[in-house]
Amino acid sequence: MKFSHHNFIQRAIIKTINFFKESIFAQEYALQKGFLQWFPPQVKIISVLAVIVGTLLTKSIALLFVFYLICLLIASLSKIKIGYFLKRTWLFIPIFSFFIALPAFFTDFNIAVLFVTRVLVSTSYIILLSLTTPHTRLLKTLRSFGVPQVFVMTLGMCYRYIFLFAEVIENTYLAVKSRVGGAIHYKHGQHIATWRIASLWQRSLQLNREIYDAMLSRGYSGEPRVLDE
Amino acid sequence: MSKPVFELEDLNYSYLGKFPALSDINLKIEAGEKVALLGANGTGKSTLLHILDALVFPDAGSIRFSGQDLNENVFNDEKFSRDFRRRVGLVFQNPDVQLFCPTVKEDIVFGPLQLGIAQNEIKKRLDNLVEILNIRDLVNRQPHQLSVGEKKKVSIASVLIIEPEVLLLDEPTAGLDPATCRQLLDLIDDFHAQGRTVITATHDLHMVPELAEDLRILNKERTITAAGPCKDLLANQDLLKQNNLVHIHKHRHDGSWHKHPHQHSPS
Ligand SMILES: Nc1ncnc2c1ncn2[C@@H]1O[C@H](COP(=O)(O)OP(=O)(O)O)[C@@H](O)[C@H]1O
Ligand SMILES: [Mg+2]
Repeated sequence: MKFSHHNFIQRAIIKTINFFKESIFAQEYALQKGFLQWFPPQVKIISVLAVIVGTLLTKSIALLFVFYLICLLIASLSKIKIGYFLKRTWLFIPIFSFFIALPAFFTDFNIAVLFVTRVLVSTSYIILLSLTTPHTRLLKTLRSFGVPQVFVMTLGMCYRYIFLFAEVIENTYLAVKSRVGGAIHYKHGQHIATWRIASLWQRSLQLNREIYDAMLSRGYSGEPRVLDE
Repeated sequence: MSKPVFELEDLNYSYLGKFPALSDINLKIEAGEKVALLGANGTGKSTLLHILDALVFPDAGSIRFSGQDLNENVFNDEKFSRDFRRRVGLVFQNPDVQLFCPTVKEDIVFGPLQLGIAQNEIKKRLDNLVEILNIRDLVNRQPHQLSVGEKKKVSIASVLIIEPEVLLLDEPTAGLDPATCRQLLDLIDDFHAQGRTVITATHDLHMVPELAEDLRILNKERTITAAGPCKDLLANQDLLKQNNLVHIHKHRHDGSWHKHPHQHSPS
């Protein structure tokens, strides 16, 4: 019994990683010719910010649902498959809100619902923005809004190396699986998982150091500069 | 006579003070030389290149660049630091650490921008390099979308665009297909023909005659055991065997196994 239990966890982990990777790195929608893709990123960022401020200020759940329906409408006008969109947003909702709001469900149900709805609407709009705009353009736009380049560069690097790590985790998983042939005994599996997390941590420190060296080597001195275009 | 580019005396280095990586290194490299650092895995080649690029500093012994002692203090001087980074460029063994920007183009121009090279000049160099390396269709891609060979090309471009006097290369041909490899070797040749110094770390015996005229061999004690022209050292089978640089081939003759070193005559 312990066997299948563990395999289930492993499969869940790899599935989550894949989903995460696909979610963050999806590019196909950004390149389609839909409604939102047509707007310049500056306009989109400002509008999304306005909507988010609106959701935080209103206390009406009905109004929030209207916002949400509009979001779904825009998504479909932007050629995003609704099923795909819902799956993406609903994955992030529990992470962001459920655990925070959980205690409130027992005290004031209305406040908890309001909170979760706000999170739902805000994340939906943010995901809509990120789906319809190539991330390199988002970063450039942040720069044009006067966000310091160090911050923009750090964001860009996070994005870049999350992908690398998703691949490292996936490859380690496949390597372990090919060595032990799929079925891993529970105890042994636990050991491997611990070792994997430790080595991942080690690797991230090492990678961090090496990237910094690579930056130093090409003359980085704390103030990133960009090409005028 | 001008001073040597690099001069290392009794240099020792260990990671975190307990993992020895280089011991008693004595090395002198003159301007315009084309040198390979040859050694099996773990003999300290990458560490030595990092020392030459002043990313780490020796525990004991000294390193001089054009007669100037290199240590942490001199790199606090911004002017010296910038001057050194302009004159010495390192291509890392792992291209993933070198490509940290959102797009290939931003990665290539990162160095010259940091070093304060004029924007027009950078655009000119970028255009030129992209043409030579045939990577025009890659410039707007994201680094994680590239193949290993493409990543390698881009990381080399990101250093060549600085036009350093000294080029340090860490296993540059590893993982490249023969055509890309050829292209890279020609590029290194052109670079060297302009009077620049090229120092390459490799464990690949086949590539050595193409990569270098002179050779330094590192052994498992992580020190330099032999130095001299390529053709002399490569002819010394015993030396190569002692340092785990020869492929040992194993095959069957008449029902019994035979082992012998693989011969690659550098003709
Ligand atoms: N970050 C590190 N921490 C501890 N030891 C290291 C580190 N990097 C390299 N080493 C050790 O230093 C020695 C030389 O490594 P390296 O310079 O990478 O060799 P090479 O490039 O010739 O394969 C090896 O024994 C290696 O295990
Ligand atoms: Mg190495």
